[in-house]
Amino acid sequence: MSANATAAGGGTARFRLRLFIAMTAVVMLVTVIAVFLVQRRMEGDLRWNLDRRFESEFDALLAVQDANNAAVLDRCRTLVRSPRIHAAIEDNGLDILYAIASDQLRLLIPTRNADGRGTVTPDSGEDSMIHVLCYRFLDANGAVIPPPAGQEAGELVTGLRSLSMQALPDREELGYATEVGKVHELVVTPIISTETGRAIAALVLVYQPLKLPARLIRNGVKSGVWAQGHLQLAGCPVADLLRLEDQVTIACQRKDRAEGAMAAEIEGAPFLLQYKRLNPGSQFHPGVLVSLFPLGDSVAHLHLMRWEIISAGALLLIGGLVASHYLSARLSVPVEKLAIVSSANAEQRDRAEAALDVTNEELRVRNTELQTALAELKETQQRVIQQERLRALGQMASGVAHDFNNALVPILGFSELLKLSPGVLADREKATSYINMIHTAAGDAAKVVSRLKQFYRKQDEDDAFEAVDMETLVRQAITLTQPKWKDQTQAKGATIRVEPELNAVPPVLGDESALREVLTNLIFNAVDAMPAGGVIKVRTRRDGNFAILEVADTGTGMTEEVRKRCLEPFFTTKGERGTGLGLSMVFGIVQRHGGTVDIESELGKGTTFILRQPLQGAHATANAIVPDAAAMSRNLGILVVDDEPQVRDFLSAALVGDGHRVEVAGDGVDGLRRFREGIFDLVVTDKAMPGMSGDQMASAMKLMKPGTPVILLTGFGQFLDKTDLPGIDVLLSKPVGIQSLREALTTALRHAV
Amino acid sequence: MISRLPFAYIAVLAISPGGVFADTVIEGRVELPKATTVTVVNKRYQVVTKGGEITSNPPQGVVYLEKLDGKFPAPATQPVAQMAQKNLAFVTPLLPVQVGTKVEFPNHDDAFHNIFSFSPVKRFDLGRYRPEERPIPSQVFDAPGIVTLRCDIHEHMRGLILVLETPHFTVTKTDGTYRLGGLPAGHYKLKAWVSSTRVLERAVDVKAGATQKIDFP
Repeated sequence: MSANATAAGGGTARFRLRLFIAMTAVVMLVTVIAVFLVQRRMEGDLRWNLDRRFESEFDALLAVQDANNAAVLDRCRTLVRSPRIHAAIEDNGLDILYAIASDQLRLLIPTRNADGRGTVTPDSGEDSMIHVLCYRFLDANGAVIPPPAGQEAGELVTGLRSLSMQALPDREELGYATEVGKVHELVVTPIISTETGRAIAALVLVYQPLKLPARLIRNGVKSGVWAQGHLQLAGCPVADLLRLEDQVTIACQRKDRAEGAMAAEIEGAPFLLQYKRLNPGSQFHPGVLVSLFPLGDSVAHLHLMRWEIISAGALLLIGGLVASHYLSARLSVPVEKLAIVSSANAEQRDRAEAALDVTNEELRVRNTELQTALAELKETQQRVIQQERLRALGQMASGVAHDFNNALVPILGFSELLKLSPGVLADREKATSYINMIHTAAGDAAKVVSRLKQFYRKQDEDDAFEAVDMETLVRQAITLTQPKWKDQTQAKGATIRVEPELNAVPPVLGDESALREVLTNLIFNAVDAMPAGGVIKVRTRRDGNFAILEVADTGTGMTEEVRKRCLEPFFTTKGERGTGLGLSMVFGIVQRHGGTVDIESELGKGTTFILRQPLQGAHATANAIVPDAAAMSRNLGILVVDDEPQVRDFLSAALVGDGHRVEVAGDGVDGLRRFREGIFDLVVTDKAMPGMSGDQMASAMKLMKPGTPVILLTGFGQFLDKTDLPGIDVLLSKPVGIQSLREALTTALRHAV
Repeated sequence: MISRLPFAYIAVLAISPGGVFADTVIEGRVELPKATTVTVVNKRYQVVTKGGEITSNPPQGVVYLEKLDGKFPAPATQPVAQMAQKNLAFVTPLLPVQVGTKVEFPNHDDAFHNIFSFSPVKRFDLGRYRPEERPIPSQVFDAPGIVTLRCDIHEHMRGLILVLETPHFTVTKTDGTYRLGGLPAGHYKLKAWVSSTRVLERAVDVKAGATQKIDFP
């Protein structure tokens, strides 16, 4: 680990160094390029501005020069147009030509000093004053017309041996004449005949070049005229002047360049030299305006600026180096971490790889163990599911037993009364009443079982509701539960009274036995809630379209928690004695009838259950089908097949009681035999029989006599579908009452017809 | 001005020493150079100088009679002629006069004129003057020769005065025909001035009362 970390540390140090070097290189490169570009750009700008300034100044100089020339030319033109000059030349008056001209040019002509010598006074007067040195007229051949003796026309300057020309020019021409250290300008103006348009003579005027404006001189600008290799430039040392002369001479030898610029030096100071030919197209020697603009200040400024830029660049570089050092340190931190982590990782990987072989073996073993555990787990799960199923079944069975026990209470109770008190039997009315109670309770018990069957399937459509009279229902329920609330509690030494408060209520559409069970359950619940005795009040009343049934006790009452949960299945406060199904069943039945359950309870004062049952359409189906013996006018021949003697005897007794001829058989084989031998209108058979089942027998009978209807009795009637049983016409669920038997007969015969 | 011209002729005729009643005439035709039409800025030049040769424009000649020797005597009274300026031009542009004639230069334009001449025969400068200038600016021409007149203000104006040593002269028409009457009898030189450099000459024998026809080729 430590060796690896050291190696990693060395690696990161190298990385850091390299990063720093790379960044430094980039920073230096960028800085140098930036400084170079900025400097070039700024120098360019400076030069450009300078050039523009010099150009404009040079243009100004040229303009001054042009204006100067134009002024001279203007004078000359005026002169040569004068009719007097024309008259003197054309009318043979040459002798007065110079006199006339001097009269016209008198302002420009040099003055004669008092000593009588002709001297030029070039430095007098204004800067812009034109100083004419001399003038001559040329005749038509270009020869000088000599001025008469004593006539003032200026002295020819040295270097101007003659002003004669080969031919007269058509228009004004500028020329330059040189003297040692001096350049003079001259202008030739042709005198054009107004009659023929031809040059008949010409005027040549020699004058001094214009002096520079004072402003430009102050700025160190020097300007002069170059001609024939001579440069006239004031305030310039001779050595420099000669060099400049050579420079301009070389430049002017290039004929394609009438103007240009170049660098020059005067007394070691840098100057920008600009030149332009002044007399293009003239037949005289070229004259060139030469201007020198001092660059000393600009160069100094440029140096300063260069140093400023370099200093700025250096600062930038230092800043960049510091930044790159800092950045490289910052950037290498995660890399260092990564390196350490990766070295640690490598170590761990090595160990992991070493351990992997061992682990593989362990894995195989554990896999086997796991598979075993899984198999066990699955088995356990299966067991748990089974237990759960059994528990549910047990709970259900317990619920069923509870209801069944409830149903058995009156049966046992009343039958006991009848058995123990022979006197009751003597009272026929009372005995009949007891028997009816027993009968009703037994029917309820049968319905409990049927409901157990229904536990497995959805509520059927054919769940036939009938009109139920509430008053009868309440009285029956009170009577049915009497053994519990009266006899059993009295045995414990407590007294419970049940007081019906019955108001007139229209019949309610519903399942009578279910509703009775609801009431029974509520009464039982009330009894259980009053261990020390009390009063149970059962009330009926009408509230709009609802029938209200209330069961109120004066028992212990419920807590809010209990009140909310008491309708839930398997919720009980009675411990081992309760199943938690009673009230939930009540709730289920009421809901099935479209009603609601409200509970009002107060601890120590008692509980009231309020059932609301809708009254709609209650009259329509009341006692719809009541088949009786009268409907069965025909006496039928009926074969009854059942392996159970009690059932067989009951059926036989019931049918014989209705006036039918009945033959019985103990099993399927016997039944078939009798069916084949006898003549029957109808067959009633049990389904589950040893040897041959009822439906098998029915199928065989149908083969023999297809027209004979077969009624199949079954304990599982509601689980069966008639279409699965081809030989059966009517299914009749056990237990069978006389009434249902009659209905089945009617239906079967209707089918047969 | 026009009204005065006849008087000039009458005066010339009156002083001529020839016959008074039967006029003596020489007539004919002078061949003249073709007219040059040089107009500068729409201004017509009445006198054209070309290669030093001065002609009138349109061309007109002057035919005059000279003695073979000596000259005609000066007139008793100084002859007066006029060369007016009208519409910025001389009227007439070609004026022959006898030596000693006083020529007046009246200004009929509503502008200044400045008539001058640098011709060696007669140099003068009248200066600027307006039409109302009185007396009318004038010059006496007392030497024979050609005098070119110019205006210092209107450079196109040109006039010619031919100063002759004879009182017998006439200006040809522009087609060259002329008629010179009132001549004295005798032997003379008949000269025809065509231009400043071209003067034709014939010897003539003038007979009193006769009319001769002489053409100059």
